[in-house]
Amino acid sequence: MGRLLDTLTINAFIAFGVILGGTLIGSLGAVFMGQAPGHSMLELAGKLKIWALVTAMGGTFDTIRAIEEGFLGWQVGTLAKQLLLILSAFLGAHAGYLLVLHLTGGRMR
Amino acid sequence: MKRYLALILLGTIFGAVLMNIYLSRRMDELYISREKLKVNLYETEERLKKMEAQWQSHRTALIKEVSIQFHRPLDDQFLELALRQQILKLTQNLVGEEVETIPYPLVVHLLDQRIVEADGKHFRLTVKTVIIAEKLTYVLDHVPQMGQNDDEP
Repeated sequence: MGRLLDTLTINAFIAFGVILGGTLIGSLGAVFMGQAPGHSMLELAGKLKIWALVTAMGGTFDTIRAIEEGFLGWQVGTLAKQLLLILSAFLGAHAGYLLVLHLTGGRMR
Repeated sequence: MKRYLALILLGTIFGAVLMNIYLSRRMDELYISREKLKVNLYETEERLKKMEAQWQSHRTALIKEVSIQFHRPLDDQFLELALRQQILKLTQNLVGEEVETIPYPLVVHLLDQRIVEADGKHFRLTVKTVIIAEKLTYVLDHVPQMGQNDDEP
């Protein structure tokens, strides 16, 4: 149980970091190319959300396969674990997105 | 040494990110105003192009009609009509010429001091006024020429 919690926390922070880093550093590139930084931050945050999930889970196929096995083999524990992993990654990504949203003072897409 | 370089690089990036966040709203506003100005410029350029095209077409105005007016009306209206018809035949080729490029002396000398026959009578025309426009207007005086009638021997 303790190990699962560790994984969930790390997943959430990875997703959070992907969003935050990708957005903030990516907007620097936008500034160099003469684009609006605030607008590009919001754009990037929206686009990176799904990639943050994928990155946090370390590749989609393993997770999907585990979900499939858990579902077909009636392994409720494995299924719940994978769903929790996805949920934690999503929470981290969404927290990063909300942070960027408030930083730029924009509205939610 | 490499560690310090990495720290300096990280600090630079961190500073740039902070500055970016701090200035993002103002830069966004500037970006939006720049885009608005671009749109305004485009609209103004398009309007200018249209106006230039209109001006160009106005410049190349063509003579569409020739109008003949007599300084002194003739007593005989049929004779006047016949004379008008003869003069219009002479000025037919002016229709379609460009107002700007038509040789002005030619327009005058086409009819000035010219003897025109109408209904068997001859008239010497004098050009009093010419208005060169899309509607070319001649104001003419006519003097009957005695002794040049075809009927006379």
